[in-house]
Amino acid sequence: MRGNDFLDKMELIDSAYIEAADIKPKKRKRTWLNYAAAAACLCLIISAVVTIPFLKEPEQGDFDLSNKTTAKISYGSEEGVMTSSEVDLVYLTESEMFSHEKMYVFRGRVSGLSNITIDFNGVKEARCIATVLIEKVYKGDIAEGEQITMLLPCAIYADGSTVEDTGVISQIECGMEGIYI
Amino acid sequence: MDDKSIVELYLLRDETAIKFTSEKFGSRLRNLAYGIVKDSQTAEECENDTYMEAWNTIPPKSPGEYLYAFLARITRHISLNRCRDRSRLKRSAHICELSAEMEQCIPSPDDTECRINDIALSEAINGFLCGLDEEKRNILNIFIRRYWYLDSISDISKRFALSESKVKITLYRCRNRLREHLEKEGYNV
Repeated sequence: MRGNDFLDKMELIDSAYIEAADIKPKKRKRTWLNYAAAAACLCLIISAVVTIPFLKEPEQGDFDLSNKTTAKISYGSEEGVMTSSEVDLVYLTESEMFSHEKMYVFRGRVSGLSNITIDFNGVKEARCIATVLIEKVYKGDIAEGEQITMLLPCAIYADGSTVEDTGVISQIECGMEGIYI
Repeated sequence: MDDKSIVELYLLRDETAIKFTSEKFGSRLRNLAYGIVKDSQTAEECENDTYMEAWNTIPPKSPGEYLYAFLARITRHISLNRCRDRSRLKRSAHICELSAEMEQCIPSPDDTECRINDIALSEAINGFLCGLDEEKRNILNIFIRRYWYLDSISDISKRFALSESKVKITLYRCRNRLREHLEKEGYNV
């Protein structure tokens, strides 16, 4: 049997499924994540790096930034830096995820959110730096009680606005607990 | 008019059955056909052929509770055949893409030909879908929209308010799971 035949064989599926799939889904309302859902798994797809190693090492070679900002950006070593091509979680199986040597998995509580604007040579993008208090470590060389900062792929708006592909992350709030991978 | 009454008209060989069918399901069937053949006129022809086929098959067949699914199945079959009959590669590229994706669900496509009992295969596929249903309705519906309704990735992403990459990943994982399910059930096709 080839793919073409199998496509035809899909006619065999139950009529109930066919009719159910033709009902237009209701538009999703923006909902707030449930504080009580401590087991929610947040998959962070970020375009920058997770800065956990930075917290342990002293800053070196700061960039000169305009005096209008309070942010500091430093050169770091390649060691401990994970790029998105290495940690695109959606492409990993569960066993790959937990056996990856550079994987951090922990439960934490958001203790701070700061929106920032990054100017990529004229193209401005909104992001947010989240500070997370580590409450329980499942994997990775990090300790409970530490605070880590992470760059979120979108800004966090007080009115709960969502950004495409960030339906979960854009709803993050201070005090929210979750599982971070 | 409710589905049961329309079916009654077919069973009584009352030709108004087709009129009521067209009124109730015409646009949905036409949209389904258009999604496959990508041509308005051909889609209308497929719709009309569906009514003819329904008239010729009810009775002895009966749609039961699912008249729309019964008709949609006919429309899909007619539309796919119409698409394959045409030699215009440009318009059948969509079907080629779907066939290639479906190939990934087949455990061993190069094995010796084996006749599969349709009932048994139906049980296997529906068993798989039942597992998806329990897990998350959306994943099931995405799978069916793609491989039964033959929607494009773009249409599915708009329908479910998801990004196209999310839809692709969901379908990729579903195909892998279907293949594993068929292997576990002992199917080599």
